[in-house]
Amino acid sequence: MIIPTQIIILIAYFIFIIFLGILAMKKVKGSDDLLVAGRNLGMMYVSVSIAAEYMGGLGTIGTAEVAFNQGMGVIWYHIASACGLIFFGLGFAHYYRKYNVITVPEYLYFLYDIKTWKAASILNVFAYWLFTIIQMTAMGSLVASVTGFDLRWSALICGIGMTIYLLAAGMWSVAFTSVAFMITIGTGIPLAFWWVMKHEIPLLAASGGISGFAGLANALTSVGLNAEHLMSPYSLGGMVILGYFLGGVLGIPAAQATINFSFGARNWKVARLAPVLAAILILPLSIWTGSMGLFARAADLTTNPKLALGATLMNINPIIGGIGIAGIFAALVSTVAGILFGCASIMSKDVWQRWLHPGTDDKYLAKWTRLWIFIIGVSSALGAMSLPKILHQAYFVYSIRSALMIAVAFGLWWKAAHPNAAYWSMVVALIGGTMYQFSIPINFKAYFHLHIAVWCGLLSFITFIIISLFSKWTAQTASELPPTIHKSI
Amino acid sequence: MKKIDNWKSEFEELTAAELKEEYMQLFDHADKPFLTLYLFIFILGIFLTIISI
Repeated sequence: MIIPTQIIILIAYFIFIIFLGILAMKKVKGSDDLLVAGRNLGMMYVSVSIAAEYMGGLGTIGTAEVAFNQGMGVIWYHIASACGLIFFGLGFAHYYRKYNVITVPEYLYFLYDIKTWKAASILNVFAYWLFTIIQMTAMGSLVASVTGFDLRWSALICGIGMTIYLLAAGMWSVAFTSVAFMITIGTGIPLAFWWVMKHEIPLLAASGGISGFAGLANALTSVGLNAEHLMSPYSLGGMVILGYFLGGVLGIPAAQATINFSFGARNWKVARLAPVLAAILILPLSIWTGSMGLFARAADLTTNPKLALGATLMNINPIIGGIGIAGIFAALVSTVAGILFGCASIMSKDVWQRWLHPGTDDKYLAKWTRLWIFIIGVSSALGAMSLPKILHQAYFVYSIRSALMIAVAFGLWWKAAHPNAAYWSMVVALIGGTMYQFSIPINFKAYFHLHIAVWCGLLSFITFIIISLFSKWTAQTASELPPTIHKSI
Repeated sequence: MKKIDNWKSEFEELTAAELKEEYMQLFDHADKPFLTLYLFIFILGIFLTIISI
């Protein structure tokens, strides 16, 4: 049996990552090391960890999947994400870091009250649990396309593997390996893109021997597709692009998994600049992955859009393809680790320690964090076997999460922001978003024609404004305010 | 109210004046390789994109 070069490169890379994870284990001495890396991460670790976390399954497999189906309009995904990261860095990061919080719900406690913090904890856990399932599906897609294994079983195996990896050293393992991930992603994916555009497209009979986008357009036309539409940056339509921007700008400043690393920054200045540096790195990613997704369609490499990127990389030069696969794999590992870790952090710190068992000490918190990583990881791996539609479901998560950012932004910048408004805007976004996404009890999309991000953003925004304007400050409200009373009552 | 008191003491402890001058630096000696790495990845990405399209 001959093992393809791509698989050999992937296995070697995986062993290297495990080695880095073991090195990181030595740095973990308590829950603070596990949760926020002792709040000692420098610019290097914070910015590349954020960038690597964001270049995950959605940014690679998911964007290739969308480009395979709907064309290059998917480039707006990373443009919107970069805007969201810059917005977070310049507008929010230093506030979070100065408060020394570990989770976003914890920060909402300092901005509002106990019930808001509890609602935010539940909303975050729900969103990230679902997100972990989606990312594990993306990881399974890559492994299935490389190895030829069944997609469902690949998703399950990858999910369990990721859980074991993260159990080792928490945030230190994520930050330690992120540098290696970033090098692999930042060189592997653009190299594979270059090879496809320069060397593979001219080999397609219908390309006319032309390289680049011109040859790709010829190849798409020859298989009966509308190349002009698929190659257009507006191929997804205005509503989807607006949804990407709302999802990115409203979602990222309260996205626990992404901004987790800013909480672990050495100081607030690092926390503020690092997301901006990360934004610059992620900007062109969907040009590379989207083009490879379209190539898979033009070359008829697969009929399953989820397998488009993996199929492309398995059908080009084995060394370049192997490096590209390692890059995609790195992107997936860093993201799955980040979100699984973010979800477990909220579950152990907010729900378990602060809410249910306030007396839990540091030693037990570290144990409970690991237990929650295990529970969330294994259950998500099982959930990934249901194979959700990657980018489509991810935007549902982004959308319900936008309620958190609206609450944070109003709490920081609007004096009339009322705790009841923060609480209800999250409840309405969670319930309303779920009903819209899954058409419960009717198909709302048929009436409103709104992207899920627009729908949730509007719901939580309007709810927040109305309740703040009509809520009165009472003795009960005052009794639940946090130590830093930021409102004049 | 007990929970709030816990939060309060923890909050005050956490936000007590912590910062020395050198601790507030944007970059330290460990970040020097990072700048090289960052520029390398950035320039390589832009270069490969331009020559490919």
